[in-house]
Amino acid sequence: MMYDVVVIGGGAAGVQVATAVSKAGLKCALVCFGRSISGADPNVQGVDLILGDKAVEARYEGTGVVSVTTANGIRLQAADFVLATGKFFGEGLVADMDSVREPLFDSDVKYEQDRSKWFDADFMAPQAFLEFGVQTDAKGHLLKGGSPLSNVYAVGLVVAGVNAAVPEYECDTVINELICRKRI
Amino acid sequence: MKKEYDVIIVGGGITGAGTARDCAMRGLSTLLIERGDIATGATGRNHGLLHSGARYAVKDAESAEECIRENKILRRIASNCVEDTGGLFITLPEDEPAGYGLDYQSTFVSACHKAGIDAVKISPEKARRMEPSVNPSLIGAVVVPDGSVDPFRLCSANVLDARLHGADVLLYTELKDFLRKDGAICGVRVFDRSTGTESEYHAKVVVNAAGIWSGPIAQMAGVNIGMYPAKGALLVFGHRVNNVVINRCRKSADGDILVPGDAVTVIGTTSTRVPFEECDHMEVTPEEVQLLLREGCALCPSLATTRILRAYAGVRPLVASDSDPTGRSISRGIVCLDHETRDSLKGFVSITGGKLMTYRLMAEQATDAVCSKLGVKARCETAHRPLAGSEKHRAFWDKPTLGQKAAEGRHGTGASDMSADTRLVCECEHVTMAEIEYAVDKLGVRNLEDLRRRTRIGMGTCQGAFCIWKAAQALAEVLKARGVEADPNRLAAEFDNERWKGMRPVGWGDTLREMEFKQRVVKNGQPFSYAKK
Repeated sequence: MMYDVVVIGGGAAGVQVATAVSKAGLKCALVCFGRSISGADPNVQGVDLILGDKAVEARYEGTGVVSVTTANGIRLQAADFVLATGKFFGEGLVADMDSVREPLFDSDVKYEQDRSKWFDADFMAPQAFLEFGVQTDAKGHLLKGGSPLSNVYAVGLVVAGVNAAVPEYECDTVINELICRKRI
Repeated sequence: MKKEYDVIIVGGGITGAGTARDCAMRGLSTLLIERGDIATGATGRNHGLLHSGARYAVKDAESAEECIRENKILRRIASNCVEDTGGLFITLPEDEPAGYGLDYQSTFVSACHKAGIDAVKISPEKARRMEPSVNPSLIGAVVVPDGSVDPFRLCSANVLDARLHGADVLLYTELKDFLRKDGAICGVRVFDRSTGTESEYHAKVVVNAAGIWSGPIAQMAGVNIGMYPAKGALLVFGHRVNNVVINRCRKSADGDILVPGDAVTVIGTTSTRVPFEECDHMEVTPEEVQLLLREGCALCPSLATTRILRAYAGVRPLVASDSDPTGRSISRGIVCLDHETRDSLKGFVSITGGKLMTYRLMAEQATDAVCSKLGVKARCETAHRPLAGSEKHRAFWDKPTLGQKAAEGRHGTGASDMSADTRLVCECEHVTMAEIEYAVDKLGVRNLEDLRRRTRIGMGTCQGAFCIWKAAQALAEVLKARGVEADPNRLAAEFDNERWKGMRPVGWGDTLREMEFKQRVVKNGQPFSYAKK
């Protein structure tokens, strides 16, 4: 099935985007690792929910993505994709001893190369690692290899600069962009 | 509190605690002083291995014999603190070309028997059945009577036992200077860190049992002991991966012991000389973590995908004797110094070197030295009488709750003194309000770190992420009811920083996920974000 938008991640940001574009009449699917979505607004009428599953692979064509495939083998084709997989807790970002990566699109991640700067000794002080994340352009396009993917966006905690402990982000830029693209 | 004692002991680690017990049992009026809480030095920063002594059998037969003797004694007198896990010494395929193949294994087994250690060679297949997590490629295995010991519990039991025999104990009390008379040490001047006041106590003999800090304390007394701070780093894994202690059957090297303890597993250790100044502020380095992980995975491959809870480091209180740069060849023998004969300083004894396993023997030697100075003829009974909590007893309850069972496991006979408040505070380790009250009333607890050491609160798989607020409020409530000022926010903050310190050196993979979770729960109130509209 061909969707207008596939949202990857069922946290607050993913749910907000899915709800908004669905209300605007776009055909939307949301893939969520957990067995239920979180977030304050449970009104996801019209959104195809794929729960308990994880997008693990992406297929590319030109400067964009044509489909993502889940761990259970479901292939989701869409005009646009939204990465809303969160930070380390939900494995939107994965860290090993030397590096941080974003496992689905292997996109550009902004993080501190010097490990000694990741943490502050005072638990209550700001912690640098809580602001690591993927890089986007001004319109919210995900950057990969320095260039924006034409039809992949990132919102929420997965984005660099959004602090996991004091999260402040907006999804409206991406939501409006998605709705406009459909109208065109 | 008296003004004059027979003996004052400086240092609340296992050596000081054991010495206080022995002195008190022999009828000496005893005071133990400790600048922080009990077991905060090397006592609280080791493997928790109840050595069979097999590790020393080939190269240091005397240490090995000492070890197995004390191993048997501790199983008797500290049954509440010891777990009989058994141990394996395994030989891996790569050990053969390195000269530590099955020939070495035979040498090892003979050396164990000579030292009185019951070592039994078994087939690799039997070893895999005995301990399923062991590296399946092993080519040889020997079973030895290793066990695991909770060093906090052991130290606490000695302190409690000493108090039951009449000793006074002052925690958070720092030694400021010695009192002298006619060129002899005759007491101490101390600073109480909670009240901010100084006091003086007199004694006929002062015992220096301060671990690595024995060096500067001896200097304060005007004598010199060459201490050799050898740092050891260890990792704690998120659950009990193995049930049997796993060792490598080769010359002692880094990271070749994997010890199960309660609900977790510990891998260690390393040995690096560090400057003395570092002893109060140790950090585990990335190199140490990598080395421990590598060596740990050789013993037990599943460690590679096991969450690491935390990393920590301790300093061995070794006495310098030769120029080996790593400190491993320094015999871990007991060093008991009577400064009257050595340095013409009366009234002062130092007891250092040794290891956790042989603390009772160290205490015996120190107490013998004290008694000889005082002309006291009482004999040492510490090997024969069980520690407080380890006495044989009948069941206290007909149908114990999980919390009661856990409390009895931790405190033995002490559990029968606890109240019936079964409200659960820590779910990972089943710590109830009753146990918290007991720990404050009977075990000298003043903050969450003290409480952690005695009840394991926050030492389980969640490292306090779920229980810390409850625990802080509960402890503050108990302290305030006893007239002690307590701020739950400060209690929690101290605890959080200590846990954080242990997680930072292993901050990747699942540990990093947990670190993010903790940050979000504490700073955001809940771990899930709610989008702004």
